[in-house]
Order: sequence, then C-alpha cells, then structure tokens
Amino acid sequence: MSWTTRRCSKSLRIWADVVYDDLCTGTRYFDELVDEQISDPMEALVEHYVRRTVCPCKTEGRKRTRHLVRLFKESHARGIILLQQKFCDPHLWDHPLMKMQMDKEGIPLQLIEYEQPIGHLDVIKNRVQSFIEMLGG
Amino acid sequence: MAFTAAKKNFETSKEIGLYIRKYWQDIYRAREEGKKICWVTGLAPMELLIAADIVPVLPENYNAFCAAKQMGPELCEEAEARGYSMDVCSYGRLHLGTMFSGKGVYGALPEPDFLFCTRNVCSTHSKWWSAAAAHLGKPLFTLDVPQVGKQVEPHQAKYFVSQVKEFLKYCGSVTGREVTENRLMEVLERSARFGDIWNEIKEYRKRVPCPISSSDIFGNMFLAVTMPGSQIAVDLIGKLRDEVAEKVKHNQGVIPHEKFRLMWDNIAIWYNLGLMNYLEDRGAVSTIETYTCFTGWGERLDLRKGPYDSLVHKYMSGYLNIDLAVKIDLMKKIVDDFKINGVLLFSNRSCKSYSIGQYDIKAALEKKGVPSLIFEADMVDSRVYSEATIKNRLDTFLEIL
Repeated sequence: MSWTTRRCSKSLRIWADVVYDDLCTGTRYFDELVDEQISDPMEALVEHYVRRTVCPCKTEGRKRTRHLVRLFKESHARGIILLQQKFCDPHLWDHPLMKMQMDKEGIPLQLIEYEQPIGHLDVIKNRVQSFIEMLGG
Repeated sequence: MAFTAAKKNFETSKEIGLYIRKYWQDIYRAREEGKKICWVTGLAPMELLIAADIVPVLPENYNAFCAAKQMGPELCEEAEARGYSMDVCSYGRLHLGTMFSGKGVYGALPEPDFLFCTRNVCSTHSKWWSAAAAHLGKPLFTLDVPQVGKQVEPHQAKYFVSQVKEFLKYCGSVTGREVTENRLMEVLERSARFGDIWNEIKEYRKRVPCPISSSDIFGNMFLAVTMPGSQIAVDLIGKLRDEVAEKVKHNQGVIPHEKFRLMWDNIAIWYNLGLMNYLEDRGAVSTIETYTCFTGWGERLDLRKGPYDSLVHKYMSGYLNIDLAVKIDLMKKIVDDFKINGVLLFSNRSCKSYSIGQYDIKAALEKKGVPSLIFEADMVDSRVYSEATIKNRLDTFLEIL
C-alpha cells in the first residue's frame, strides 16, 4: 500500500471501514489462486496472469467494471471510492462508462483525484466525509 | 489569438487539399454503396483493410481536420461534458465529442461496422478505442505490438504476423469475401511504390537549401496516413516529387535565404500550422519532422520478404515504438543527415508517449552541440496554447542560433 493510500485509509477510518481494495499494489496480487488443475505449471501461471483483471492499462474497461461490481457485492460494501492518481490516463478513460454502469447498478461511486506529493489531505478528507454522509454514515 | 493555416508552396499541395474533400465525400457515401466501414487508429496497417475492401476511417485524421478549422475546443468540451477528463488525449476527446454531438467539419463520422486498434503508438489508443466501441456497442479488434529495441526480434515479428493473419481472416468474415494473398500483394506493391517516392522526397529535404518544409509536408502526409496502397496516393505523391525535383534542379529553397535548418519533433499543432511560416519569415526552415518521416508512415516495404513479413519493419520499428536509447541514436543521425542547426521539441500535453523522453533527447543533443527548445502546447486543443509565450520562446531560440 502506498504512502498516500495509507494516509487516506487512515483518515477514512474515522467514518468508515475500508473492507476491500483493488489497488494497483494491493489485494489484487493475492486474491485469486492459480488453477492447480492445469497439469503444466507454466501453463497454469500464464493462464492466471492472462485472465486476471488488473490495471486499466491492461484490462478492457467493461471487464474491470464487472470485476468491481462483483467485489463490491461480495464484500457487502456500501460505496466505492476511486482514487485517481493525476495523469494515470487509463483510469480516466474508463471512468465515464464505469460511472454510468455503477449508476445503473445503484452503486455509489466517488472519484477522488490526487497528486503526488499529496499536498493538503484536508481536501480529500472533506470529499470522503461528504461521500460517506451521502451514504447515510 | 490569431491562428493561421500554413501557406503552401507547391501546386500539388493544393491539389492534395482539393482531393481531401473528395476523400471525405467518398467516406460518407461508403455506407450507401454497401461497403463495410472500420474506425482505425493511426499507424495501424491500413493496407490490410484496403486489401479487404473495407473503408478505413481515421478519426485522428478527421480530428486534425476539425482542429485546423478551429473546432478543437468546442468538440473537446462535448466529451468533457460527458465525464472525459481534460487530462486525457485531446484526439480522443475531440473524436468522442464528434460522436456524442454530431458536430464536426462534416458532422460525426459515419458509424463503423467494427473498430481496429494497434498498440504500436500508445496505450491511449486501446483505451480510447475500447471506450468508443463500448459506446457504440460495436466489435473491436486489437492488434498488440510489443515495443522493440535496436531491431525487431524474431519472436516479436512472429507474434505480429500471426495477428495480421488472424485480422485478415476476421476482415474476410466481416465482408464475406476471403482476402487472397494476390490481392494483398497488389495493394502492398502500391504501398511500396508510395514509400519509395515518399523517401525520395525525404532525401531531397537533406539538400541545402531545403526544397520543401513542414508547411507543405504536414498537410501532404495525409496521403501516407490515410491511403497507402491506393493508386491515387501514388499518383499525387509522384506529382509532388516531380515538383520538388524541379526546385532542386534550380537550387530553389523554401525561402530565399535559409539561415537555420530546424527539426520538428512531435505531432503538428494543427490549429496553427501558420507557425511554420512564422519561422520562415525569420529565416528558419522546419526541414524535417520525426512525425511524418520516422514513425512508420510512408516507410519502405521490402516485398521480397513476403506480404506479411514486409509489414513488420514499417509497423513495428517506428519512432513511437522503439526504446528511448534507440530513439536518441536516431535523433542524432537525423540531425547529421539533414544538417540541422536546432531542434524544436514540442512537448505535447496530449501525447505523453511522444513527449516522454524529450528532456533526455535534449541532453543528448546538447552533448553533441546541437541546441534544442522544449515548449508546451497541445495538438488540437488550442485552449492550452499560449501564443505570446511560444512566440517569445521561439524568438529567443532563433536569436541564440
């Protein structure tokens, strides 16, 4: 977990719990198992890495949206915060259609953009707080 | 701000300009004529679509056209209003803007039957194409191209060729007609002829004084981009070559007294190509561009390698798909070959894949004793163009030279 994310989730804890994450360097690395039914280990690994839903840079937007909807439902979350690191364009390309789909599914999705270094954390805190209030927290 | 189009110095350039109108009319008529339409990314192997009798439509080319008609900001805003951030590529925004609003020089582009994207330029292409495909609910074929180093490795070429063959089969399934090797060869032969002539013109540009500059080439590259493999492209570029040869014969340059020879790096600033004339008025000629002559467009094809492998060099080892170290070596070579006095490194807000590494290039050129200038703007979104700052910087740079 990056320094920024650690600081964000630390401040988030005041109002809500982060029950799951799909960060570029987070749970994604170990939340799916390699299929041991495939006899050739190399094949099994390749299959695992090719099929995974990873960063938007390497995953089609609609596939990733489906993945997030599934994670959302499985983890009984009430909302999704999309942390957008400025200039990480693949995320920005996916966002409008993802937002549309989430709205259809009735899933609250909040985009929060930040820069490195993060500067004033209060701005982010403020947005998170409003989002959580919207969720009725 | 007064944006201007470039003053053209060649009769053939004007003829190409007129042809562009007919080209777009044909595209808007294609559907009525029962032809299949494909939206295709820049630097995708167009020859394959032409061989398959599918009409390739290049949103990027249309974007440049709309921007030249000063419609860039308005169309980008249409996409921004639907959630597309100002930080993403303005080509993408402008194109989606035409799609959402139906606005543009000729309105929205005709809807495609499918979309085709290659990954030999940037990761933006695949995100933008998948967004467009999702909005339209149309199929998307992506041809993955790995980045290459000094040369294309055999396993990389094999990977590329296998996808080319798969794509041709896919095209056959769309039209219901198989694309034969003979038909493909026929198109490739014309593309190869075009490449030879385009390279002849490029060779002429090494001459002092330079016979043809960016003022004409940025517009004329239309042929290399949109229709390699068509007879009309071969005919028009042949005419241009003859005109350039004539100038060379009489030792005529773009301007009477050529003081500085410049190289332009990055995409053109489409809404203000008049900037080239601004330089020329001050004795500086933009002699060569990485964009028009080294990215793959107008590249030669070695047909002895066979139809599929002949495409490998053109579409895999272009300037935007090679390692930085190879790029730097290439830049140094261009500077020598074209006797360049200074390099204009246009840092394009929209094209990160093109602009990244420009500071390393600048440092390498400096070591070689060649000055360069980095300035920031955008290729189609004129809202981030600062006229006074850029002209100031260009003036200072010319003074240093």
